[in-house]
Amino acid sequence: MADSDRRPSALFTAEEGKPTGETHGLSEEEVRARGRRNIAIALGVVAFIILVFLTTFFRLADSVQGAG
Amino acid sequence: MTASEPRSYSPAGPAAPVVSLATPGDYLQLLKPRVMSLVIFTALVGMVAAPGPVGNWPLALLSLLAIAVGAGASGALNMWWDADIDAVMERTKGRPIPSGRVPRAEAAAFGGLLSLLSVWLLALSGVGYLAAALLAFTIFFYVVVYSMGLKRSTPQNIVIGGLAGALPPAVGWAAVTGEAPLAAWLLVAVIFFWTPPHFWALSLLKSADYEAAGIPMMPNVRGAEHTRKLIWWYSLLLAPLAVLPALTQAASWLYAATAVLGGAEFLRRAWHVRKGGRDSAPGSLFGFSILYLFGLFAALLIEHWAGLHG
Repeated sequence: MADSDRRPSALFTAEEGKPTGETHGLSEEEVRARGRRNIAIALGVVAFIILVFLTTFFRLADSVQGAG
Repeated sequence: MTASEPRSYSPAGPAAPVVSLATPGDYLQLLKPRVMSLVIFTALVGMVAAPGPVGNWPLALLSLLAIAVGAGASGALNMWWDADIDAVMERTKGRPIPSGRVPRAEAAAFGGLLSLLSVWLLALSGVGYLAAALLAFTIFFYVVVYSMGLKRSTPQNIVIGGLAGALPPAVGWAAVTGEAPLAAWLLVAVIFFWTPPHFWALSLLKSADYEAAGIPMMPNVRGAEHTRKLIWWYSLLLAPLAVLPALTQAASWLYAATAVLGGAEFLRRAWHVRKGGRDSAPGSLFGFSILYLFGLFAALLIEHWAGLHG
Protein backbone atom coordinates (compact mmCIF):
# COMPACT_ATOMS: atom_id res chain seq x y z
CA MET A 1 0.00 0.00 0.00
CA ALA A 2 1.40 3.43 -0.94
CA ASP A 3 1.92 6.14 1.69
CA SER A 4 -0.83 8.24 0.16
CA ASP A 5 -3.28 5.37 0.69
CA ARG A 6 -2.58 5.36 4.43
CA ARG A 7 -3.29 9.08 4.78
CA PRO A 8 -5.92 9.82 7.49
CA SER A 9 -9.20 10.67 5.81
CA ALA A 10 -12.61 12.03 6.65
CA LEU A 11 -14.79 9.53 4.85
CA PHE A 12 -12.79 6.37 5.42
CA THR A 13 -10.83 5.16 8.42
CA ALA A 14 -7.11 5.51 7.94
CA GLU A 15 -6.22 2.02 9.14
CA GLU A 16 -8.89 -0.15 7.59
CA GLY A 17 -10.34 2.07 4.87
CA LYS A 18 -13.86 1.55 6.16
CA PRO A 19 -16.57 4.23 5.64
CA THR A 20 -16.87 6.62 8.59
CA GLY A 21 -20.40 7.66 7.67
CA GLU A 22 -19.44 11.23 6.84
CA THR A 23 -20.68 12.54 3.50
CA HIS A 24 -19.87 15.53 1.37
CA GLY A 25 -21.34 17.39 -1.59
CA LEU A 26 -19.85 18.28 -4.94
CA SER A 27 -19.17 21.89 -5.83
CA GLU A 28 -21.44 23.53 -8.39
CA GLU A 29 -18.57 23.63 -10.84
CA GLU A 30 -18.00 19.89 -10.48
CA VAL A 31 -21.69 19.15 -10.92
CA ARG A 32 -21.85 21.32 -14.06
CA ALA A 33 -18.72 19.72 -15.53
CA ARG A 34 -20.04 16.24 -14.82
CA GLY A 35 -23.40 17.14 -16.38
CA ARG A 36 -21.73 18.42 -19.55
CA ARG A 37 -19.65 15.28 -19.80
CA ASN A 38 -22.68 13.07 -19.28
CA ILE A 39 -24.51 14.83 -22.11
CA ALA A 40 -21.46 14.49 -24.37
CA ILE A 41 -21.21 10.77 -23.57
CA ALA A 42 -24.92 10.31 -24.31
CA LEU A 43 -24.59 12.13 -27.62
CA GLY A 44 -21.49 10.08 -28.43
CA VAL A 45 -23.30 6.80 -27.78
CA VAL A 46 -26.28 7.91 -29.90
CA ALA A 47 -23.93 9.05 -32.69
CA PHE A 48 -22.14 5.69 -32.56
CA ILE A 49 -25.43 3.77 -32.81
CA ILE A 50 -26.48 5.89 -35.79
CA LEU A 51 -23.08 5.37 -37.45
CA VAL A 52 -23.28 1.60 -37.07
CA PHE A 53 -26.87 1.61 -38.35
CA LEU A 54 -25.97 3.74 -41.38
CA THR A 55 -22.86 1.70 -42.17
CA THR A 56 -24.81 -1.56 -41.99
CA PHE A 57 -27.66 -0.09 -44.06
CA PHE A 58 -25.40 1.21 -46.85
CA ARG A 59 -23.30 -1.95 -46.79
CA LEU A 60 -26.41 -4.13 -47.17
CA ALA A 61 -27.85 -1.84 -49.87
CA ASP A 62 -24.55 -2.09 -51.73
CA SER A 63 -24.64 -5.90 -51.51
CA VAL A 64 -28.28 -6.07 -52.67
CA GLN A 65 -27.52 -3.80 -55.65
CA GLY A 66 -24.46 -5.88 -56.49
CA ALA A 67 -26.49 -9.09 -56.40
CA GLY A 68 -29.33 -7.60 -58.47
CA MET B 1 -17.11 20.10 5.62
CA THR B 2 -18.34 22.36 2.83
CA ALA B 3 -18.40 21.48 -0.81
CA SER B 4 -15.63 23.90 -1.69
CA GLU B 5 -13.12 22.61 0.87
CA PRO B 6 -10.30 20.37 -0.27
CA ARG B 7 -11.30 16.74 -0.01
CA SER B 8 -9.05 14.84 2.36
CA TYR B 9 -10.35 11.37 1.65
CA SER B 10 -8.97 10.92 -1.83
CA PRO B 11 -6.17 8.35 -2.08
CA ALA B 12 -4.52 10.62 -4.64
CA GLY B 13 -3.98 13.35 -2.06
CA PRO B 14 -5.83 16.04 -0.15
CA ALA B 15 -6.12 18.47 -3.07
CA ALA B 16 -7.26 15.99 -5.69
CA PRO B 17 -10.77 16.75 -6.96
CA VAL B 18 -13.46 14.11 -6.49
CA VAL B 19 -15.04 14.75 -9.85
CA SER B 20 -13.00 15.97 -12.79
CA LEU B 21 -13.63 19.48 -14.06
CA ALA B 22 -12.87 18.45 -17.63
CA THR B 23 -15.32 19.64 -20.28
CA PRO B 24 -16.19 17.88 -23.55
CA GLY B 25 -14.02 20.52 -25.24
CA ASP B 26 -10.99 19.22 -23.33
CA TYR B 27 -11.57 15.74 -24.71
CA LEU B 28 -11.98 17.21 -28.18
CA GLN B 29 -8.63 18.96 -27.71
CA LEU B 30 -7.06 15.58 -26.87
CA LEU B 31 -7.91 14.51 -30.43
CA LYS B 32 -5.65 17.24 -31.92
CA PRO B 33 -8.32 18.71 -34.25
CA ARG B 34 -5.79 20.48 -36.48
CA VAL B 35 -3.88 17.26 -37.15
CA MET B 36 -7.23 15.52 -37.69
CA SER B 37 -8.21 18.07 -40.35
CA LEU B 38 -4.96 17.41 -42.24
CA VAL B 39 -5.57 13.65 -42.03
CA ILE B 40 -9.14 14.07 -43.29
CA PHE B 41 -7.91 16.16 -46.20
CA THR B 42 -5.12 13.81 -47.32
CA ALA B 43 -7.28 10.70 -46.84
CA LEU B 44 -10.06 12.32 -48.89
CA VAL B 45 -7.55 13.05 -51.66
CA GLY B 46 -6.44 9.41 -51.50
CA MET B 47 -10.08 8.39 -52.00
CA VAL B 48 -10.76 10.61 -54.99
CA ALA B 49 -7.35 9.99 -56.57
CA ALA B 50 -8.05 6.25 -56.69
CA PRO B 51 -8.98 5.07 -60.20
CA GLY B 52 -12.64 5.29 -61.21
CA PRO B 53 -15.45 7.10 -59.44
CA VAL B 54 -16.00 6.43 -55.74
CA GLY B 55 -18.59 3.65 -55.82
CA ASN B 56 -20.49 4.42 -52.65
CA TRP B 57 -20.08 7.95 -51.27
CA PRO B 58 -22.04 7.41 -48.03
CA LEU B 59 -19.75 4.49 -47.13
CA ALA B 60 -16.70 6.49 -48.25
CA LEU B 61 -17.69 9.36 -45.95
CA LEU B 62 -18.24 6.94 -43.05
CA SER B 63 -14.77 5.53 -43.78
CA LEU B 64 -13.38 9.06 -43.77
CA LEU B 65 -14.98 9.66 -40.38
CA ALA B 66 -13.44 6.43 -39.06
CA ILE B 67 -10.01 7.52 -40.34
CA ALA B 68 -10.44 10.93 -38.68
CA VAL B 69 -11.42 9.34 -35.35
CA GLY B 70 -8.46 6.96 -35.61
CA ALA B 71 -6.13 9.92 -36.13
CA GLY B 72 -7.70 11.70 -33.16
CA ALA B 73 -7.37 8.59 -31.02
CA SER B 74 -3.66 8.33 -31.73
CA GLY B 75 -3.37 12.02 -30.82
CA ALA B 76 -5.01 11.34 -27.45
CA LEU B 77 -2.69 8.39 -26.80
CA ASN B 78 0.28 10.56 -27.77
CA MET B 79 -0.81 13.23 -25.27
CA TRP B 80 -1.22 10.56 -22.61
CA TRP B 81 2.31 9.26 -23.16
CA ASP B 82 3.97 12.66 -23.61
CA ALA B 83 2.21 14.50 -20.76
CA ASP B 84 5.50 14.97 -18.89
CA ILE B 85 7.30 16.67 -21.77
CA ASP B 86 4.17 18.57 -22.83
CA ALA B 87 4.22 20.16 -19.36
CA VAL B 88 7.72 21.54 -19.99
CA MET B 89 7.29 22.92 -23.49
CA GLU B 90 5.80 26.38 -23.98
CA ARG B 91 3.86 25.25 -27.07
CA THR B 92 2.15 22.33 -25.31
CA LYS B 93 1.89 23.12 -21.60
CA GLY B 94 -1.71 24.33 -21.96
CA ARG B 95 -2.90 20.92 -23.22
CA PRO B 96 -5.63 19.18 -21.18
CA ILE B 97 -3.36 16.74 -19.29
CA PRO B 98 -0.45 18.99 -18.26
CA SER B 99 -2.90 21.73 -17.28
CA GLY B 100 -4.60 19.22 -14.96
CA ARG B 101 -8.03 19.29 -16.59
CA VAL B 102 -7.99 15.66 -17.79
CA PRO B 103 -6.40 12.82 -15.77
CA ARG B 104 -3.78 10.86 -17.70
CA ALA B 105 -5.53 7.53 -17.23
CA GLU B 106 -8.74 8.94 -18.71
CA ALA B 107 -6.88 10.18 -21.77
CA ALA B 108 -5.37 6.71 -22.22
CA ALA B 109 -8.77 5.02 -21.91
CA PHE B 110 -10.36 7.58 -24.22
CA GLY B 111 -7.67 7.15 -26.89
CA GLY B 112 -7.65 3.36 -26.57
CA LEU B 113 -11.43 3.10 -26.90
CA LEU B 114 -11.57 5.40 -29.92
CA SER B 115 -8.69 3.50 -31.55
CA LEU B 116 -10.60 0.23 -31.35
CA LEU B 117 -13.89 1.77 -32.50
CA SER B 118 -12.31 3.60 -35.45
CA VAL B 119 -10.55 0.49 -36.77
CA TRP B 120 -13.71 -1.56 -36.29
CA LEU B 121 -15.88 1.04 -38.05
CA LEU B 122 -13.42 1.26 -40.96
CA ALA B 123 -13.44 -2.53 -41.28
CA LEU B 124 -17.23 -2.31 -41.54
CA SER B 125 -17.45 0.66 -43.93
CA GLY B 126 -14.39 0.21 -46.15
CA VAL B 127 -13.95 -2.06 -49.18
CA GLY B 128 -12.16 -5.09 -47.74
CA TYR B 129 -10.03 -4.98 -44.61
CA LEU B 130 -6.82 -3.45 -45.94
CA ALA B 131 -7.81 0.10 -44.95
CA ALA B 132 -8.67 -0.98 -41.40
CA ALA B 133 -5.35 -2.85 -41.14
CA LEU B 134 -3.46 0.21 -42.39
CA LEU B 135 -5.29 2.44 -39.91
CA ALA B 136 -4.46 0.06 -37.05
CA PHE B 137 -0.82 0.06 -38.18
CA THR B 138 -0.82 3.88 -38.38
CA ILE B 139 -2.10 4.20 -34.79
CA PHE B 140 0.38 1.58 -33.57
CA PHE B 141 3.26 3.24 -35.40
CA TYR B 142 2.44 6.72 -34.12
CA VAL B 143 1.87 5.72 -30.50
CA VAL B 144 4.27 2.82 -29.92
CA VAL B 145 7.04 3.28 -32.49
CA TYR B 146 7.16 7.10 -32.61
CA SER B 147 5.85 8.37 -29.25
CA MET B 148 7.14 5.58 -27.00
CA GLY B 149 10.23 4.65 -28.95
CA LEU B 150 11.76 7.14 -31.35
CA LYS B 151 10.75 10.55 -30.04
CA ARG B 152 12.93 10.51 -26.92
CA SER B 153 15.75 8.36 -28.24
CA THR B 154 16.98 9.55 -31.63
CA PRO B 155 17.23 12.74 -33.71
CA GLN B 156 15.84 10.66 -36.58
CA ASN B 157 12.53 10.58 -34.67
CA ILE B 158 10.52 12.65 -37.10
CA VAL B 159 12.11 11.05 -40.16
CA ILE B 160 10.97 7.52 -39.29
CA GLY B 161 7.95 8.59 -37.24
CA GLY B 162 6.76 10.70 -40.16
CA LEU B 163 5.45 7.50 -41.74
CA ALA B 164 2.41 7.62 -39.44
CA GLY B 165 1.44 11.06 -40.70
CA ALA B 166 2.13 10.04 -44.29
CA LEU B 167 -0.13 6.98 -44.43
CA PRO B 168 -3.65 8.55 -44.59
CA PRO B 169 -3.74 8.85 -48.44
CA ALA B 170 -3.07 5.10 -48.70
CA VAL B 171 -5.71 4.39 -46.02
CA GLY B 172 -8.26 6.50 -47.93
CA TRP B 173 -7.32 4.88 -51.24
CA ALA B 174 -7.66 1.39 -49.75
CA ALA B 175 -10.99 2.28 -48.11
CA VAL B 176 -12.69 2.82 -51.48
CA THR B 177 -10.83 0.28 -53.63
CA GLY B 178 -9.65 -2.43 -51.25
CA GLU B 179 -6.07 -2.05 -52.50
CA ALA B 180 -3.10 0.31 -52.26
CA PRO B 181 -1.06 0.32 -55.49
CA LEU B 182 2.15 2.19 -56.30
CA ALA B 183 0.38 5.49 -57.03
CA ALA B 184 -1.07 5.51 -53.50
CA TRP B 185 2.37 4.90 -52.01
CA LEU B 186 3.80 7.75 -54.10
CA LEU B 187 1.40 10.09 -52.28
CA VAL B 188 2.57 8.55 -49.00
CA ALA B 189 6.18 9.12 -50.07
CA VAL B 190 5.49 12.79 -50.83
CA ILE B 191 4.27 13.41 -47.25
CA PHE B 192 7.00 11.18 -45.81
CA PHE B 193 9.84 13.15 -47.43
CA TRP B 194 8.09 16.47 -46.84
CA THR B 195 7.99 15.86 -43.06
CA PRO B 196 11.74 16.20 -42.21
CA PRO B 197 12.37 19.60 -43.85
CA HIS B 198 9.04 20.82 -42.47
CA PHE B 199 9.71 19.79 -38.86
CA TRP B 200 13.42 20.56 -38.87
CA ALA B 201 12.64 24.11 -40.02
CA LEU B 202 10.32 24.35 -36.99
CA SER B 203 12.88 22.76 -34.67
CA LEU B 204 15.50 25.33 -35.75
CA LEU B 205 13.10 27.97 -34.44
CA LYS B 206 12.06 26.08 -31.29
CA SER B 207 15.31 24.32 -30.39
CA ALA B 208 15.39 25.84 -26.88
CA ASP B 209 11.93 24.46 -26.20
CA TYR B 210 12.92 20.97 -27.35
CA GLU B 211 16.18 21.22 -25.39
CA ALA B 212 14.27 22.04 -22.20
CA ALA B 213 12.02 19.04 -22.70
CA GLY B 214 14.99 16.75 -23.42
CA ILE B 215 13.74 15.76 -26.87
CA PRO B 216 16.69 14.91 -29.14
CA MET B 217 15.72 17.00 -32.16
CA MET B 218 18.34 17.34 -34.87
CA PRO B 219 19.46 20.93 -34.05
CA ASN B 220 20.02 19.99 -30.38
CA VAL B 221 21.94 16.81 -31.13
CA ARG B 222 23.86 17.52 -34.34
CA GLY B 223 23.74 21.32 -34.40
CA ALA B 224 21.96 23.92 -36.52
CA GLU B 225 24.48 23.75 -39.37
CA HIS B 226 24.05 19.99 -39.85
CA THR B 227 20.25 20.41 -39.67
CA ARG B 228 20.38 23.08 -42.39
CA LYS B 229 22.34 20.70 -44.62
CA LEU B 230 19.84 17.91 -44.03
CA ILE B 231 16.92 20.23 -44.82
CA TRP B 232 18.56 21.02 -48.14
CA TRP B 233 19.26 17.37 -49.02
CA TYR B 234 15.74 16.23 -48.11
CA SER B 235 14.29 19.13 -50.13
CA LEU B 236 16.39 18.07 -53.12
CA LEU B 237 14.83 14.63 -52.84
CA LEU B 238 11.30 15.90 -52.18
CA ALA B 239 10.92 18.33 -55.09
CA PRO B 240 11.41 15.80 -57.93
CA LEU B 241 9.68 13.02 -55.99
CA ALA B 242 6.56 15.16 -55.66
CA VAL B 243 6.34 15.36 -59.48
CA LEU B 244 6.26 11.56 -59.88
CA PRO B 245 2.51 11.10 -59.16
CA ALA B 246 1.91 13.14 -62.34
CA LEU B 247 3.38 10.20 -64.28
CA THR B 248 0.66 7.91 -62.93
CA GLN B 249 -3.09 7.89 -63.55
CA ALA B 250 -3.61 9.48 -60.14
CA ALA B 251 -2.59 12.97 -61.28
CA SER B 252 -2.61 15.22 -64.33
CA TRP B 253 -1.25 18.57 -65.59
CA LEU B 254 -2.59 20.77 -62.77
CA TYR B 255 -0.84 18.61 -60.19
CA ALA B 256 2.30 18.52 -62.34
CA ALA B 257 2.38 22.31 -62.64
CA THR B 258 1.82 22.74 -58.90
CA ALA B 259 4.55 20.20 -58.10
CA VAL B 260 7.10 21.79 -60.47
CA LEU B 261 6.47 25.42 -59.50
CA GLY B 262 5.93 24.66 -55.81
CA GLY B 263 8.99 22.41 -55.77
CA ALA B 264 11.15 25.16 -57.29
CA GLU B 265 10.00 27.64 -54.65
CA PHE B 266 10.51 25.03 -51.90
CA LEU B 267 14.09 24.51 -53.09
CA ARG B 268 14.73 28.27 -53.23
CA ARG B 269 13.62 28.68 -49.61
CA ALA B 270 15.49 25.55 -48.51
CA TRP B 271 18.64 26.98 -50.13
CA HIS B 272 18.25 30.15 -48.04
CA VAL B 273 18.04 27.94 -44.95
CA ARG B 274 21.10 25.99 -46.13
CA LYS B 275 23.13 29.19 -46.52
CA GLY B 276 22.04 30.27 -43.05
CA GLY B 277 22.00 33.91 -44.07
CA ARG B 278 18.71 35.15 -42.72
CA ASP B 279 17.20 34.37 -39.32
CA SER B 280 13.76 34.31 -40.92
CA ALA B 281 14.68 31.61 -43.48
CA PRO B 282 13.55 28.57 -41.39
CA GLY B 283 10.26 30.28 -40.54
CA SER B 284 9.74 31.16 -44.19
CA LEU B 285 10.39 27.55 -45.26
CA PHE B 286 8.16 26.19 -42.50
CA GLY B 287 5.25 28.42 -43.55
CA PHE B 288 5.69 27.66 -47.25
CA SER B 289 6.01 23.92 -46.64
CA ILE B 290 2.43 23.87 -45.31
CA LEU B 291 1.17 25.79 -48.34
CA TYR B 292 3.17 23.51 -50.66
CA LEU B 293 1.71 20.25 -49.33
CA PHE B 294 -1.77 21.72 -49.23
CA GLY B 295 -1.35 22.94 -52.82
CA LEU B 296 -0.24 19.52 -54.08
CA PHE B 297 -3.19 17.68 -52.55
CA ALA B 298 -5.67 20.44 -53.40
CA ALA B 299 -4.52 20.21 -57.03
CA LEU B 300 -5.28 16.48 -57.02
CA LEU B 301 -8.69 17.11 -55.52
CA ILE B 302 -9.55 19.81 -58.07
CA GLU B 303 -8.34 17.66 -60.96
CA HIS B 304 -10.58 14.79 -60.01
CA TRP B 305 -13.64 16.87 -59.19
CA ALA B 306 -13.23 18.98 -62.34
CA GLY B 307 -12.84 15.85 -64.46
CA LEU B 308 -9.41 16.84 -65.79
CA HIS B 309 -8.48 13.18 -66.15
CA GLY B 310 -10.79 12.71 -69.13
